[in-house]
Amino acid sequence: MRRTLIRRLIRFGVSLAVLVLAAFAMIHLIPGDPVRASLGPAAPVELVEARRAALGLDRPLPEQLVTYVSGLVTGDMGTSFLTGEPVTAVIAARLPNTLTLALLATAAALLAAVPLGMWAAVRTENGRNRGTEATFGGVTSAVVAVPEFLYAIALVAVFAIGLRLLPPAGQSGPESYLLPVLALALGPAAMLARIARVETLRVLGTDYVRLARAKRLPAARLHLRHVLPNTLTATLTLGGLLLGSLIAGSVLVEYVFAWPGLGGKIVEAITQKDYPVAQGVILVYGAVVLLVNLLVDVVLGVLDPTSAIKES
Amino acid sequence: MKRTAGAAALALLAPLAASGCGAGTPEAASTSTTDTSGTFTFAIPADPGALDPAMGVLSITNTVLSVAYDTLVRSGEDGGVVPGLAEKWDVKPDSVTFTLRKDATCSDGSPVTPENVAATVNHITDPDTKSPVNGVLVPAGMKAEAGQDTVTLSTPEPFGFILESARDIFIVCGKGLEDRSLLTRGTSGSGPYVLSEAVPGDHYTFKVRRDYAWGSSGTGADLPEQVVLKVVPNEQTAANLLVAGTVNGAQFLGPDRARMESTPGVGQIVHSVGNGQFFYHQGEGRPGADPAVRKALTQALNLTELGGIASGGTGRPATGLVAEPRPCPGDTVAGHVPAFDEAAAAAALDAAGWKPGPDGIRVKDGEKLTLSLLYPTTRGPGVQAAAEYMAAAWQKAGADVKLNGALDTKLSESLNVTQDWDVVWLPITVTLPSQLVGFLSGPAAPEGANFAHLDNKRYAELVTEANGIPGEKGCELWLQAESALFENADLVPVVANTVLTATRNATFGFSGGLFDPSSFRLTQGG
Amino acid sequence: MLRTPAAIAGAALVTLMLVLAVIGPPIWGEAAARVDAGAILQGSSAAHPLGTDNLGRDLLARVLVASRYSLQLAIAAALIGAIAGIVLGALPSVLPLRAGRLVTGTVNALVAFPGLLLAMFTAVVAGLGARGAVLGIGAAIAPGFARLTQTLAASVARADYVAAARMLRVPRRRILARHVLPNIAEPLILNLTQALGGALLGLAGMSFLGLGVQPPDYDWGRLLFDGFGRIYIHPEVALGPAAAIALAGIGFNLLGDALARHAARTPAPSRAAEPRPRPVPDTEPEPGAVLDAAGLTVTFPGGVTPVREVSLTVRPGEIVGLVGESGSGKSLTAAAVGGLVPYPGTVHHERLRLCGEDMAGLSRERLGTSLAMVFQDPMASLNPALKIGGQLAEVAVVHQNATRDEARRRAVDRLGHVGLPEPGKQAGRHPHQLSGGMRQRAVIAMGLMGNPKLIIADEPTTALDVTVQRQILRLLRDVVDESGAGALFISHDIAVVGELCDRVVVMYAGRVVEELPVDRLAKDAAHPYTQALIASLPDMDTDRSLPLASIPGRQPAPAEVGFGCAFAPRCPLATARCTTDRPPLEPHGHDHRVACWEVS
Repeated sequence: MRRTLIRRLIRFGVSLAVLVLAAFAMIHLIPGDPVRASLGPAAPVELVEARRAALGLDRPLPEQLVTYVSGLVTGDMGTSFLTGEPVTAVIAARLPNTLTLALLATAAALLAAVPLGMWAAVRTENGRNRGTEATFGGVTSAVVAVPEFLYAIALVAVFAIGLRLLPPAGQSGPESYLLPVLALALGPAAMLARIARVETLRVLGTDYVRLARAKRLPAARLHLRHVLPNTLTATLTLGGLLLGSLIAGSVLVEYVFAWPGLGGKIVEAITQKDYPVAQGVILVYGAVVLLVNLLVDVVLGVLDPTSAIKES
Repeated sequence: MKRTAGAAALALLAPLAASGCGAGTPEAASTSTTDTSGTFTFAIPADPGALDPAMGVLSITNTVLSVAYDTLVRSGEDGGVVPGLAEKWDVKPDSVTFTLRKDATCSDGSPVTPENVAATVNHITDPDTKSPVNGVLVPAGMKAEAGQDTVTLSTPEPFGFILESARDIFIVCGKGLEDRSLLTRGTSGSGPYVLSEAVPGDHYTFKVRRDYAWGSSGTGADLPEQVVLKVVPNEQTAANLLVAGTVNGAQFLGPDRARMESTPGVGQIVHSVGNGQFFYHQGEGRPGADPAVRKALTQALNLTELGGIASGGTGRPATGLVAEPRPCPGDTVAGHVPAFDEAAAAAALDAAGWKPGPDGIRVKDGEKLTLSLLYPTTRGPGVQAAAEYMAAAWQKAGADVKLNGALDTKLSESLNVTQDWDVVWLPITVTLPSQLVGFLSGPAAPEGANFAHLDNKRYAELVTEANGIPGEKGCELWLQAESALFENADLVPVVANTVLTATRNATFGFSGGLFDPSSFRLTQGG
Repeated sequence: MLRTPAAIAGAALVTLMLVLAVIGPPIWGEAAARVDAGAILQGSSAAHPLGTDNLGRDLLARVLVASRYSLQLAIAAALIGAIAGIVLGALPSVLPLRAGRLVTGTVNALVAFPGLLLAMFTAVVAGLGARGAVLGIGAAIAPGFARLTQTLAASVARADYVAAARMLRVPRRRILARHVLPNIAEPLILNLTQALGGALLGLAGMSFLGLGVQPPDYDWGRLLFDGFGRIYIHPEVALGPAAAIALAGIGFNLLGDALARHAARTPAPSRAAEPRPRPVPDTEPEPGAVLDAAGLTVTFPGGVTPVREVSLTVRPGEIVGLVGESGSGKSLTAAAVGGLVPYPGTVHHERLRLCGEDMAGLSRERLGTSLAMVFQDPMASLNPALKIGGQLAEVAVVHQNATRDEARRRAVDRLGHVGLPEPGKQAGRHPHQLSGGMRQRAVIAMGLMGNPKLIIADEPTTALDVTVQRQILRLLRDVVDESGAGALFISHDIAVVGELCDRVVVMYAGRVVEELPVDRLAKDAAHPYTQALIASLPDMDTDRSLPLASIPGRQPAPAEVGFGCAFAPRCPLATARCTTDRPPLEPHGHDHRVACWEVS
């Protein structure tokens, strides 16, 4: 268990290092001069040179890397081209909003998907109710295939503009979370429901469920106490990984809802060529994803000791 | 002259937050009782960033600052200069002396003094400040000197728009002058509002100063209790918020203005906001080096149709190169741009030696008439469509047109370094005619900012003359200079793009990208 | 393959897209490019069902024409991703070990990364435009392919023929090309189909963000990008490309699902008529028996009948051994008695009684407390998520209205009863913390929580090692002796049955062929099959994991059973009559029944 954990931590460290390198490389890999690209075609030469010097782009690469990494360690990710704010402050102000959205969407997806998937599994166990199976498979497949921003727009059109039930944008009260979370959660929920169904089917086929059936337990007890906990490990693992992809996937939803999160910021940073911000946001996105994956693995090791035993 | 080039750069940076938005007071459909206890909410398209007036590089920052800071003078509705903190002024070619009003106080209660004004200006032009506004909004080398009740701004060389440049200087007073770090997340000005909460990326809340009494449109007693500037990067979202009644005002450049126009209860006002326009490359060996070719190619285009396409049907005929409200009002375009005439275009091209070749492409001295049309791909679908329309029209006239859509990176390289273009669609937004001079005359790229290699003698002469003459007489020369460009087909103004300012349950003044905060009024019902 | 409506819909959508990609540009290409300055930015009309764009061009035509470019880009991206992925995935098998590890590590790190982020990064660096987007999406697809190739290649590399090739010193590159790649081609191609759908959506997303296709080219994502700004005024201008993207995505997704399922799954059983079993002559019910079953038959759709007309009796305190090869129907018989036959199997019986009462009429509580079951694999028969004590206590809480404390006390008591050391401590543990033998004891203890009348033990010792086996058998005997319950003990091992049981029931091809007391097994076994079973055990200590190797031939599958005696093809005594007429199970001396023409 401990060895697994250490190995996992080393892997995390290596991935993080690669990520930092990639983020550093980004500003150098951009074709042409990033400063001129950012300042626009008619920027005066002095301004460009001053900006280059401020960014340290005129110094040798290794030195720049050292500066960049030591900056990261002290929480300095540079300064926004556009607003002059420290990138760290920009991210600190927005990251919580993105995380809240992603966490809520993951929770909503899990809460909807697990019961739905279990229900579908119980109904279609051993190949009965083929109609339900086909409908479930088709509908979830279709829901998964529609991009989240289309959901976002449809939800705004219906609930905010049409029915005027919910705010169309912004982060105001609890009700302002409803539409963005829903838009973000629909696709993942359908995917999780499929996974939950397959997992439930697997568990329903095990001997311990047969034994529990032999004990003639009521259906509710059988499913909630004997089946559900055993489907959760896999479902939660995927849910955790999903959280990682949701954080990145929230970009367009945040844009549609003018959500004050990182997603809106990165779209702005890329289109406005605010490279320090784009660099910082990509780094943070990547780091959060890596961290989530690490946490999922660790939590899994604690929750399900059998998996750890197997590995060691 | 290089300094002036920065103004265009700024305008290019933030196309949504155009600096010139015209003047006017939009009226809501029904004006009933005013409400002074409520909150006036306005959607801004981007985050203003750090709020230090000396460091604000974006026009959106200036929009936000205008709620809390006064200026010495402000733009009137007709483009003229009206009093602000200064009661009166005395303009000379290289200096202007303002007499300050005596009752103005800062948000921390201290009086606004001539020393405050001088400190504000001198801080910006101090090279150690590294202010991005220096040399852009504030003329480079400007010095301020405080007198008894007066303050004098002077420039090293004669500068015709020295008075107008004071419109854009936010006067810092009180504690903010001593500790500039207070200004990044707070305000220290003499305006009717003071920043009470800043949530970057989301909203900025200002609280009213009931003791404000030196506004042009009202006193603190008439104003809404709070002003919230809400960051809404997406116009669609802004439209949704306005329809839902969550915001009282927002600006629309894009297609959502149609929705605003059809929504009952929404007050509207439309301002011009910079031109859709294109340049011919006049470098040696280019087709555009020949004025006859430039005129012929311009004649081959139906500029009315092209303008409609480029602006998505919301444009107006272009009347000049400077954003409204103009310091020098007038129409420099009408009658100076070659009119649409396909036959005349063909004849002119024939006369210029470009004869139709076997494949329909005109040839001169064994060279085909090829045009590389460079345009930015980041300015919305209208510009894209305009480029395709131009290509089709010139194709018909016998030119082989290569569409060269570019992102700003590539565009800037093409303009300043590689020069691999013959025609470029390039909006340049400036607030003073003097800011254009560097682009339209002088050393050519890559050495200078004159990217199209213009060499219009008449323009250069008129501009030099005008620079030393302030006021109406100078303006007359500036206007003639612009027309000289059009007559020579150096640049072709196609359309004046417009912006719609929509309001709901509120009225306010908004001019040149700056609020008149003393005009904020909430109306009930609506 | 195209059995479900979803699969049909998927195939139809993908086909439609392919057809459009071929015929779209020649048919609507001209309309898609026609400029009309008088009709710019219009909404839906009769002339332009989806409206017009900034140049007055018809958007419906543009959507139809764009199908070709969208598909071309998706194919390019999917191919780039697949090729890069396969190369990355195959590299570790040809590179030196250390370098191979590095590649594997890189792939693992990349797989964890969200595709969109990877694609955006690559596209920004590679330059904005269709080329950058295709490379970006390719880069996003590649890690998944690499991982799949690695996994597949690793499984093939372990195969015998690859090992053989290695031993013959065939170069590793050649092994990869000749042996590994051809064998993993099919799943890779299948994955490519799914990647294609992913690439299509990914490219649409990139174009929608403005990072993909740049005008004057256009794909669906670009058309959506242009129409998106007008969505609240003329929703139809965005609806066309949005619908195209969504439908294409749905189509590829559904088709990919169907293909994957087709590759993974044997065909589902068809719904043929289910023949009702013939009525069997009524046998006398036996009063006082714990289990009294007659004419027990299990059928599955398609007429497969693995258990036929089985009659069984178990008396109190008696252990009845049910013996047979795997496939003889013994486990299904046990499941039928326990009421646990999985859907779609159906059970028919003349009589099925527990302690004289019809089982169909018994309450959940009675069944739950009086039936106890023990399965083969103790690793699998305890719920890994629940503590041992809780799993035991459950029966008492649910069926006997015991309080939690009572139930727990009883659970600890029963755990002690089955010889588990420190039962209080064990009750608080999870199954994986116990050894196999201890778990099987716990399962038996679980059966004792109620008031068991019948214990059904389905190969309870097969998965255990020999010494533990004996302990568990002894425990079963003790439990039966003590509680007076009857037990049905299912085993393929006639030696174990001989040691433990009171009576033996031998099954072959779904039927009982002989039934007799254990003490007469060696001497009086009459059926040739039973005799062969006994003869196949030279002595009691031979390896019992290879049963019945000595009898030539094999047992017919349930669907192959014909009219006569199922054992006839393997029987040394078989006559013509044996192949045409089935011998009934008839008394053969006291307490002994046989189904064989040649014996009775």
